[in-house]
Amino acid sequence: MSPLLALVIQNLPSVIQQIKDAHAKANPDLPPLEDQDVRDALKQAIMSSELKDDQWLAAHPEPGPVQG
Amino acid sequence: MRFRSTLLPLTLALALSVTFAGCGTPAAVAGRSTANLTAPGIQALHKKEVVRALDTIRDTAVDGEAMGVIPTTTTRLVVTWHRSTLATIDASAAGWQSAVTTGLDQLKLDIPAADRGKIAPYIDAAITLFKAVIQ
Repeated sequence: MSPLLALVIQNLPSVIQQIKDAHAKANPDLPPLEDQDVRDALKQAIMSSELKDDQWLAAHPEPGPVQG
Repeated sequence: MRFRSTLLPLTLALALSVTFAGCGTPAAVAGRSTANLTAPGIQALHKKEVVRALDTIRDTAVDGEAMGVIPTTTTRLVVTWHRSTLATIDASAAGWQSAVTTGLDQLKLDIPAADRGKIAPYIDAAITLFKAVIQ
């Protein structure tokens, strides 16, 4: 494992804490999140991620049986 | 080849840190208070963060395959696992956490030993994030 990657993984707990802090310390100028906002964001994240999977799988089909 | 094997962890480590720091959070969600969320909204937020961590594993394999560091067969295994895990997360109202945990453990076992060292650190990182999120 590279030293940089090891450093990133070693620091993950503090990065996770930063994410939690960022959620707790929200921008007061922005309206608070409602359930539907998060559901929409989740739906969008899943759809775009599935699209990337599908595109990669379509571009790399499983090889067919070898013809003898 | 040495350049490739050095560049991959560097690129992916940066991507991982940016991802987990939340910089890739959609603008509609970033920086907004979560105080109004009810239990289903909080669960959706957790799912979204877990999806992002799982994306990192998939992206590691896809980028590694494009660089010629990870074989296409191994990458297909990872992408197929990722696709089915997303479907589980999307469809499940309850029990998705244990399904994801089991899937991550199984993925580590299924990846050929020669490639495990390249992908396993990202799986471990995702497991760490996953446990922190669902607690």
